Amino acid sequence: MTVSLLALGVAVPLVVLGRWLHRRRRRPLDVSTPAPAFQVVALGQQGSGKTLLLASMYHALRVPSGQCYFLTAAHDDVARLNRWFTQMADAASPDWPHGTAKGETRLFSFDVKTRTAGSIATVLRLNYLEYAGELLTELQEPGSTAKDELYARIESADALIGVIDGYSIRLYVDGHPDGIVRLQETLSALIPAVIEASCPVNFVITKWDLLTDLHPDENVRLDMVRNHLISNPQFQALVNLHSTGRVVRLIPVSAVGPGFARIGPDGEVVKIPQREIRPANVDIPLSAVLPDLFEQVEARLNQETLTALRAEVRRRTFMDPLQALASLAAFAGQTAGRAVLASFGGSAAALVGDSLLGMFLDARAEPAPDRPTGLAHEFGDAERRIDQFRRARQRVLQEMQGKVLALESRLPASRLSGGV
Amino acid sequence: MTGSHAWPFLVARGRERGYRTLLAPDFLLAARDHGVLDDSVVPDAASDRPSVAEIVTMAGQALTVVHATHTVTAADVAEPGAKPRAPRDRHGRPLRLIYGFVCVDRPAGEPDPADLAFCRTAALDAYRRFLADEDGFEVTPGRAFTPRTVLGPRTGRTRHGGATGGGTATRDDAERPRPFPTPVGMLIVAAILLAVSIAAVGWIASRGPEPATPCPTATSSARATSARSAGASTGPSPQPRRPPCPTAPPSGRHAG
Repeated sequence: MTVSLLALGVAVPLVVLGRWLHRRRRRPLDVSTPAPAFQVVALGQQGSGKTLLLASMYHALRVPSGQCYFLTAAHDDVARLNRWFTQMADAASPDWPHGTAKGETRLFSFDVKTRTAGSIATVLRLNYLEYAGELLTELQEPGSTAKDELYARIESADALIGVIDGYSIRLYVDGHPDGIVRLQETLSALIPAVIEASCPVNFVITKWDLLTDLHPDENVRLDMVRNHLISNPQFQALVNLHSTGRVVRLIPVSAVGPGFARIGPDGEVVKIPQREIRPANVDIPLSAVLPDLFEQVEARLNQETLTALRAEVRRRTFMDPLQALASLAAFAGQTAGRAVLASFGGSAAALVGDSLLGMFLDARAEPAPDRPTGLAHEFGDAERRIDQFRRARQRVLQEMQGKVLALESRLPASRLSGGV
Repeated sequence: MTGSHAWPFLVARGRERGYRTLLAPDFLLAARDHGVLDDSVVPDAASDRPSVAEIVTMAGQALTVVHATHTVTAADVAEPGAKPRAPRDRHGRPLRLIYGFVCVDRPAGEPDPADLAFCRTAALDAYRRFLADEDGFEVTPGRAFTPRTVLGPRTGRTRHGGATGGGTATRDDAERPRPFPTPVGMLIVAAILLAVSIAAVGWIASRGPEPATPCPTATSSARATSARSAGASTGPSPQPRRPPCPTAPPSGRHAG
């Protein structure tokens, strides 16, 4: 009797444990989580076009059309973005979407997803802050904390996008007295937020469609605007400050595209009836976030770390998926791996170090050739999923980089600095 | 300042200047705590529909804000003799007022439309003065009035600026990993089950001699009975009933 009970007492827990372990083994290995998250803040005055850029950017990237990745967001956020986009695109209505109030400050979390062989995988997350532009330019009222919170977000950002209102440039180019004042206001808003930033900074010119008639050649047009901006010593200094080791870009974007709106007789931007929107370049500012961040991280590494990094990248190319995972874990514990993670600096590195490191290493690697079918068959399910995820992630990163390179090729004037 | 009073307020954007508090309860203005209104109230897509938000000022005072959104019309801001024209900001966007009243107590039911109408009049008055001189405008103190809305006592507490629908949304909570089951958790459960099982076995084993094989003889059985009854009772003790020995072959039959 005693022996039977003892056997039962040992057997039951072992069976419970065994069944649980068995279930765990059978459950698909979730290789795509946790996805590293990156914080993006677009810095721009009220009315500079931040909200419309966000809505148009989401609209352009919400389906994998023109790129292998797409964005998803929470249902409520999607509803907001769609509402803004619809209001903006409705040529029959003269109204533009309302400006963002301070109480509407909101973090939009976009999951960047792509299709792998068998499923949809989340590669990374971009958290994009939407806020009232006057927080950058106006005094904080007694009892308010919104401005402090915004600056805390700016300080912890992984990428900053300086928004320059194309309408202000239009006024400036036309010799309107408000033009120089507004451009100066723009710079006054950007400089304190950007001057101490350690993350990559790019600049976008919104409402690019309002500048179409400056010159028929878009690159010449952009070069004209670039020269106007660079002629301001403060802007030039800002660009120089952020040019060490990477390119600072000037990206012309239009949330509505050419021919949809014009400047009316009262100086207001009005829609042209019966026109359709054709957003231009709105996908590029977000697509540039990761390539620029990775470029900056690499530029911060010393020669010894770079050598170790490149050796690890080469090793991973020839490893099978599980070997690559083990190697990644080992590399993360080495001096070089820790140095790479430290170079990211932000919360992303602390929370998802290995995942971020793997992404960084894969982004540095040459495109992996497809595995021979026979070899792929030798992988177990988990290995196959890891392999597919890594390849999909690498494809996403390459396409992001590709968009930026295509812009540089099409519009060489978009390089504000050489990145040396 | 009493719980039965209310104070009008206005948060709005001008043609040039961004959103800011233009009309604020006089006690908040005096305490330099009125910026909480600007941080908290959120415009509504529907016009003049009341919403209720609970806020706590930087000084720690809990307040209720009843607010509505009004899109400014040409008639709202028309200057005498001027051609009415829908007002826009310099970027061509409609202008909106977020107006309403602040109270210490909480509305017991739906806010009375008459209170909102009263506050809208006060808000428009302040707004017209603001549009006339956006840069030079000073926040107008809102005087207390007795609302028709029935107010009830406050319960609970909200965070600073914790207005309905406002705040920053993140997914952190949704993403927290499930605390259980984890490998360590499962091992702990298995260990506890094992320990409980062993303890149970030990307890059963320590309850006394079981009629183990071979089956006790009549002599030993009588001795055990005698030992149990000694000292316990001097009287006659009935022979305890024992289950039949499972190993003893039933009389008159052969085991299997």
